[in-house]
Amino acid sequence: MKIVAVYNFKGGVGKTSTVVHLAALAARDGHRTLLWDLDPQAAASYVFRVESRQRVGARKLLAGERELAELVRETDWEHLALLPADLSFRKLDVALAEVKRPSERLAGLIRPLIREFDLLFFDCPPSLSLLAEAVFAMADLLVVPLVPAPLSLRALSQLHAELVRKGLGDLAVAPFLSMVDRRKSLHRDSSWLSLRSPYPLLETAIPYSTLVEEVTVRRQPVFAFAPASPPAVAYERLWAEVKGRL
Amino acid sequence: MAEAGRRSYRVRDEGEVERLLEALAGAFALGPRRRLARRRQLFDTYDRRLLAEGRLLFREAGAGKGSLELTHEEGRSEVRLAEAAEPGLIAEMPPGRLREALATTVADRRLLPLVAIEERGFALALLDERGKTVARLAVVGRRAEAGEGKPARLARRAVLEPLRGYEGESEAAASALGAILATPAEGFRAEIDEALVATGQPLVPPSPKVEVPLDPAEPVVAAAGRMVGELTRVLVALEPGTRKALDPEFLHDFRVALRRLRSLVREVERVAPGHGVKRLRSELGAIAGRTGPCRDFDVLAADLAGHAAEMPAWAAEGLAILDHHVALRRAEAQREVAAALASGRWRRLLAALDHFARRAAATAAPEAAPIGEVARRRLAKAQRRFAREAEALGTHPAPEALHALRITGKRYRYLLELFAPLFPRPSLAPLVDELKQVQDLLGRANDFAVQGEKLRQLAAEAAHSAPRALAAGMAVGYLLARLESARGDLTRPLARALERLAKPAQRRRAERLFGGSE
Repeated sequence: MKIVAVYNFKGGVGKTSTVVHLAALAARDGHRTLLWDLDPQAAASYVFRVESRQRVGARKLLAGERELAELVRETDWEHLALLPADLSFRKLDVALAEVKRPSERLAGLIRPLIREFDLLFFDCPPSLSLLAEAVFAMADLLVVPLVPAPLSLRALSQLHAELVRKGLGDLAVAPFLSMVDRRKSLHRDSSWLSLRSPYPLLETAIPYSTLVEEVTVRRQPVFAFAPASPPAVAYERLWAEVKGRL
Repeated sequence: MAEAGRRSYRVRDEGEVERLLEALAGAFALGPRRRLARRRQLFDTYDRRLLAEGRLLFREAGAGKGSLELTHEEGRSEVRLAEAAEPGLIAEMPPGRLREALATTVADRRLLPLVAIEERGFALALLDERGKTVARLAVVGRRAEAGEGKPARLARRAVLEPLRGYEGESEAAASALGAILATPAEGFRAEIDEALVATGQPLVPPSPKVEVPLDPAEPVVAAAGRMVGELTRVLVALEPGTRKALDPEFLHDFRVALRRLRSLVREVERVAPGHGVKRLRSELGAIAGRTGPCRDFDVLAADLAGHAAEMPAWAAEGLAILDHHVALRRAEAQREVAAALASGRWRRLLAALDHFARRAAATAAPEAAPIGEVARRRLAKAQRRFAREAEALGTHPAPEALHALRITGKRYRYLLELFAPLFPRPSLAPLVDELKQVQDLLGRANDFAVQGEKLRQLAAEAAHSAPRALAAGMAVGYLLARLESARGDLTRPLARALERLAKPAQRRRAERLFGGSE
């Protein structure tokens, strides 16, 4: 099972839209895909109409009293399952802080699912926390959406520094431009960002589009209701690039 | 990624479909109908090892290469490759989870297309009150296709696929379907069995080790007729795979069936000459003769592959040359097999076997003694002859003596297997097991002798035609030394196995089972 984490500790950059589309496209291509919605806002769970039916509790999970597999629920999309956001996941950070080797404990939770799924996507909460660190330690690829703005570049540089500091300097990181609005000059020419980025940017840029906003209204990925639209085409390209990195 | 618990129901007519949709609409909102058209091809080894374990390997054509999925009978997916080429030999598959999951079961057998199931119809989602899919339903017309045969129509089916995390809803849907449909829910296996039957394939893979139930009081010719009929059907079933060389084991099993038939016909000839059995025996011998060299090259090729890993570097180049020559000679021998099985002579033999089987099976009057009596007499004699030859071997037996004992043992073993249904299995099993051990060792010794001869021939060929004759000669030299050493290694285990077979307890067991002399 390959693990892809979609992350940015800066909020509002299109992180959930990215993970929703990458996971749905992977499933559409026939890969048995699991999306773990770790964001307490539960936006990915909302889009896929999956609600958590039972509160399990982060501590019980980490203590091995409950299995993560019990919480897996299939979405409307063939080959796509979801671990819905649970309010108790907010406490996963605290619970991880209480155990030894938190990264290994989180990896241990996932182990029983390794044979069932080909791909695991993490929708990470926008914070640089112990949970995020544990996810980074497991991930094969870290996908980072960036809005073309100086603060985004700063956040990426901070992430790079943090990964190096934590001994994760080898982690494959794939930043890409998200919510690109051609009306803005900073967005039209983003070469400055590419030049200063600590990681090479993926070639695909996701355009700003009201269609992407509609995803949460229609509760479907954009390719399902506007397959030929620019964002749908862009997400296809992004998935192809991400797949190529795995 | 359908969860365990997939249910499939036979649907009789359109009215039933309407009624089941109405019933489901009472409990769920139904999503829009989506057209469904798919073709799934089931792969397995020639002896259906995956099906025996309750595992199904499906290939589904897609936009790209097509997917390959290993599932369990109840629908649980074990491994899925979104894009994969047709499976063949495990060694040729890309490394990864599917290869790992199949390796132990499939080993060095080739994965072959067993049957293709084409489905056309519609699918829809069963939705809960929030519009979330909680189960999927497909209603499909189906047909099956195997080999070069015509497609066969299968029963129309409604298939309910539960979704993980919504098991309660699936149960509710299953209850609604169960109340409407006349037939009970079935699993994947029932669908496969239906497709196999519809395409004229046996539910149990053809095996030369088929056991025909025997009544000891039955006239020997009538019983032999049924056995010949069964073994002929096995030959016919194995013939396409043997002719096309789909897997070396087809030829192996084909030849075992031939040998069993020859053995059986020989017995009939002894007790009831006539019936054209002499001619049958000589024709079976002719086919065995035309298929033998190919089998020898199969064994040699497998053994060379086994040697490759341990081959010193100085001999490795020569081994590659030998491999090439073996492949050429094997291809020649395979053409001979294909020609033999495409010949009118082979068709006439099959017709003659069939004729014998039907005429003999219908024999009412006891032309000779009942089969129970004949079997005991013949087995007693074969056992004594084998024991006598084994005792006479001495500590350093000549290769010719070992070869003669192997032939005698083979005849004894085939008789034991043919007549096995006449004896209590627990009593017969120790005799068969001990004999099998001896035969395996004798068989290996014989393989080494045959291979030595073939290697010398190949070396001579390579000396004439290959630019690297020296390398080939060095490899042959190395291999001959290994064969000789391996042959030497067999001496002690063979002596021990023969000792066990000669134990008074084994003899008494044989005497108790088979009684007095002929």
